[in-house]
Amino acid sequence: MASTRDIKRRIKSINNTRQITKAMQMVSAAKMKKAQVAALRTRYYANTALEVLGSIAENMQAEAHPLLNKREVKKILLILISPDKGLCGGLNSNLFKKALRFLDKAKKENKELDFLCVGKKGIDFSKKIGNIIAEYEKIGDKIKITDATSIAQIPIDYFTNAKYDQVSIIFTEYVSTLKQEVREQQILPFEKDKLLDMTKAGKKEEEKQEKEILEKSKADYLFEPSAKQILATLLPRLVDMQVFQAIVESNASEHSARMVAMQNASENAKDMIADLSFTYNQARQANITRELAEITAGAEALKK
Amino acid sequence: MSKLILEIISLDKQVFNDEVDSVVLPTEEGEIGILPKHIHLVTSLAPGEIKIRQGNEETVLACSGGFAQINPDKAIVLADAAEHAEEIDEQRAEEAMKKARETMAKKDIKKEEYAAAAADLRRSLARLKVVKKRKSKRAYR
Repeated sequence: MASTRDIKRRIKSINNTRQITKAMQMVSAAKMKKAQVAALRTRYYANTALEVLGSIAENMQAEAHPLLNKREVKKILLILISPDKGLCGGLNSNLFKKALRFLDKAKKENKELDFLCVGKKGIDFSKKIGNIIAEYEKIGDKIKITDATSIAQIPIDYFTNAKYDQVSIIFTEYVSTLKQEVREQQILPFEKDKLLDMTKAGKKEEEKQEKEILEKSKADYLFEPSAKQILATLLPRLVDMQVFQAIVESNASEHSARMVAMQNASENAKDMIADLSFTYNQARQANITRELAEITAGAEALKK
Repeated sequence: MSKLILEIISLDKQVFNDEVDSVVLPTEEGEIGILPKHIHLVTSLAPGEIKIRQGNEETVLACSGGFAQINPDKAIVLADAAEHAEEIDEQRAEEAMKKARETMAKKDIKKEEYAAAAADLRRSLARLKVVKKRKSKRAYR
């Protein structure tokens, strides 16, 4: 059995750890609330915007706008949105697992793949396995739509110049405090089926609504001033929106996951302290008993 | 009489969602009035006022550009920002207007900067117009 001093030292160190995890939990809880509100606030706009586009997509021809231009895919740009920090449970590893799968699939199909990373963890990860064309750090908590616009400008430009033939995004969607889901989404070129996919996942629509969208999409839309002009402003805006939404969702997921992870850690630390205190008391008791036994034995010996 | 469901969504929230008799939207090519059973239409919006009529009541919102999708039974407005008159900070709008004017008056100014300032100006003017309208209505009463 370990000596009482060793056990005492361990209890102290675990207590320190617990204080840290507890503090991190508090910080994350506060940030989580803000991030969740932010993610949900814009989700409605993003989804509606995608629905609107989905419903007019039927009437759009690929020539109408460069961002609709579907061509043979040779080079893919993957936008990887990740947290800046670790210590958030399985969030990062799930995210990177998905990214790796995506990369493997692209390699199998002989496509090249480059990364655009938002978040430090993603940058570290991508550096090991591929080429990064742009990276952003520490923007999750205070992102504004203008930040997303400047990030989204890169894929838009590259796609228009045909440097990349497909742009996809991988991020963690915020479902609830306890549940976050990694999602992969093609954002360029715009494809109708994939658009509907995204809106569906966003809020789990009922089938009825889905049908409604499909029905609407059959209608002939009038564009004012012209389809070309509308798409020219609408499409880049939607890319911005998607990037923005992905970042705020990731941010909400990160803080939720971290809060839960830290809560578990604090609880585990508490359990460990309880266990160790028990062992400590046992050891202490054993010591006392032993000493008593020694003293009485000594006294007995002197009597004779 | 049939009604039109109008949904106005700004970047951060749903601003309006109700049945209306008609709505006037500020498009890039001028104001258009939308009545129920309107033809399918997609249009982009310029900064200006959205006028909503429900019975005898008229609600005016300031809008700073965006898009609208119109179906016979439903109109969806995706605004960059849409505010009720009560929400508008008049002082801030006025300051923004002044600042935009100053920027535009400068000589050595880049094209993009000028365009951004012009857009700012239009937005603040739309806001101020909505506020003033509400004020004059109050005085009249």
